[in-house]
Amino acid sequence: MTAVQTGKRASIRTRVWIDIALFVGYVLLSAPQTTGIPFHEYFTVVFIPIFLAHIVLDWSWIVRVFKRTGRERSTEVRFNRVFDIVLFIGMVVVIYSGFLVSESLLPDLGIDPEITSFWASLHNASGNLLILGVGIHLAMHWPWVKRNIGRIRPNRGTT
Amino acid sequence: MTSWLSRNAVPIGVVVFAAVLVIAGFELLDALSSSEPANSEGESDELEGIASIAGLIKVALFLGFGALIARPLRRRVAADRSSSNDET
Repeated sequence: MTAVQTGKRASIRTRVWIDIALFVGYVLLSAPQTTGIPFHEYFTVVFIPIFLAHIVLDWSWIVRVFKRTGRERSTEVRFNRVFDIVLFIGMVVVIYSGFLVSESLLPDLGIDPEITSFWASLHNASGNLLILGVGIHLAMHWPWVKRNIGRIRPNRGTT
Repeated sequence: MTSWLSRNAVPIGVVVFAAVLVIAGFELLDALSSSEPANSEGESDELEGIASIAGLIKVALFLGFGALIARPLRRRVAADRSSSNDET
């Protein structure tokens, strides 16, 4: 195995680990009734960099998908293009509105946000819709997950 | 860490800029909707004991339903792919 191949594999391995962390973190964040509001809010601070890393590490794929034109634009590419933008907007909205309806994190920092019905409803609605969206996103990328899930183990030898 | 950030400055910048745009759009909507303070005094969504599992069950059901919705689309994608392979 060449150095380039080793580097490529390590990169996919990192991406798989980030995706696993993102999924587990997302499930925990989506169940505040189970984990409690303080965990729900504090863990968001950990979740944001993982979410950012998920996008940044897959940046070349994102650029490729958005650059495709004409016959290269298959149903899959067209769908992923629109759906991933919607998912990104949903994630930004749910995180931002979560800060604006904070009952634990911001009050602990001495900031007491005035919780309005707009942001509270938006947080609940976008949160629920986003779980559906993540299910669709996972299903659409399931072949990639299946192909690469075995790579979470460290490289052993050069075979 | 710093080198990773500087290497990925462009995608991080794009993501942050896009997030700011989204937030600005929704802040504008909030300003236009003139919403009232939410009445959440004394309310809590947290469940206790075995009932707290319900939160995780809800997430699993929603994720599963989302995956189910995606099935016809994946079938279409697969058909699309095989037809384009036939053409080439």
